[in-house]
Amino acid sequence: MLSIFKKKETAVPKASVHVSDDEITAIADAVMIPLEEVKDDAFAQKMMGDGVAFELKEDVVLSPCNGTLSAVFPTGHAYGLTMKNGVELLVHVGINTVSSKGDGFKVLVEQDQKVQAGDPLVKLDMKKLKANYDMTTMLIITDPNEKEIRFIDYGEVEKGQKISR
Amino acid sequence: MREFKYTVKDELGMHARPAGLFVKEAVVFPGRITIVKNGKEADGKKIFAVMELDVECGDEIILRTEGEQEEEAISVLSRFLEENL
Repeated sequence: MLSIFKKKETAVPKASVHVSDDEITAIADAVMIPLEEVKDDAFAQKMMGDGVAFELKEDVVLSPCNGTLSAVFPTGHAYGLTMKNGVELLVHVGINTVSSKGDGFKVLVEQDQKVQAGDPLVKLDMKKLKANYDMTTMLIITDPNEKEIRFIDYGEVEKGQKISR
Repeated sequence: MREFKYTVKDELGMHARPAGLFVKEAVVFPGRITIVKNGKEADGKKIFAVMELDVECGDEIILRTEGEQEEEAISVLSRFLEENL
């Protein structure tokens, strides 16, 4: 599509941020907390893998990396991302949110789509969702592909900020 | 090769969390673990592959274990399905 080239000329503000393919970024303006504090045993006990969690301050969740959307769950609450280095990340928006069956989730991406860190994945109707769910959002390393991934200290983060180190 | 047929009873299907927990149980076995839905196969050791099958309530799936420890694998994983899905 030629429109790709057009976009470059008309300085449309890009949502994505420039990071290397190995880096992981904050999925929103949020408070980053330890996975152990998440009120869901499967995540808190790291049964799904290591990672971090976010108390979201806004209603759009962004891709945490450059990569491919290997899995987009139809209900919009979970996203599987594969990075170029083979690391697999799961973004799980909220706790038990599968029960909403998509209500309150506006999915902005498609399965197998390539994304850059900072590209929007989903828009949330926070008012509706927060009435019924704990919207703590988990970023889980479901497959570290034998790499050691460490995160920055917990606390306030800005969207697109590098959180891996 | 061992196979186990199961109809999913959980109203919410095999979503991210159960898929993740299944995979955790599956990866400890050395052999091949496969979940089949409507002829479509997914590597039972890969969470995204399992999620992609989009297994919903009422779907019939086949759990297949092959190779070393296939007997133990089918026993443990079929029990997981019965207890969690």
